[in-house]
Amino acid sequence: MRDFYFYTSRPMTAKDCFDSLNNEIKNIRGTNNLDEVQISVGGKWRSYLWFYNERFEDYMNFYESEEEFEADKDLIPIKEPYINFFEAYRSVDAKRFIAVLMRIYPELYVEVNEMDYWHGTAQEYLDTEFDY
Amino acid sequence: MFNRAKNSRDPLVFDVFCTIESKFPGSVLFVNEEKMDCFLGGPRELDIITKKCIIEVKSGKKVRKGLRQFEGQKRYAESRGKIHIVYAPKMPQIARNTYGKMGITIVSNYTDLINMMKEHEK
Repeated sequence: MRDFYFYTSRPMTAKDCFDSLNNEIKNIRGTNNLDEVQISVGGKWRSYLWFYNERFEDYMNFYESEEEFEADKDLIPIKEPYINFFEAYRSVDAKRFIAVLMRIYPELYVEVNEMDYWHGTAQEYLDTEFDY
Repeated sequence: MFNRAKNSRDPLVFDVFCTIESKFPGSVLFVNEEKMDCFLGGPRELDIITKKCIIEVKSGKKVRKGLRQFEGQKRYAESRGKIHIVYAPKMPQIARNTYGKMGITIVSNYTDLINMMKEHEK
């Protein structure tokens, strides 16, 4: 599956996302406690949305230097973002999720952390053709 | 299993599958298999499950904290008598070291992956 990171200016909540996604997409499942992790959609090509709401400072120990850390932060146009984790096989499924989520989080910024690294606004992701 | 790996839409998972099968034929039990378990925190797809290992494949170069994901997979693996390995060829060394201190095994090349598996896939 492809790893995506979603950046927002406020925490993403499982309940808000679940309610919106459930109105638009079939086969959405949430955990029993919707304030915890994971919304997933079943079927052959599954997607998973995890609610970690991490901050950049959580990743400091994973960088060689503070300069490298700051340079990575500067790639993301949201100041002090909340970071959540999404997995999907296909861009068409990612686009379905993103199209719904950007109505709740209009500032949503997307990073695709795979061999074909990509980052941009939610709308830019929707407007881009991907080969997966 | 070969077709499932080939059709996985994740070329690196297929590559890892082929490498493992070439060294340990018949050892791969599942590819992109969804499991549900309290340790995993809900239904979760695991990239490659062999007789003795659970292998998570990460092709990205950016480090975003997947620790909760890895910890859950590791606890699940151990509950099944398996070891947990993350194959992350592009992950920076410092990140691998940091995860290592947290008890997560990360390898960045096939030699290390196979050597780690050799101790267990017998």
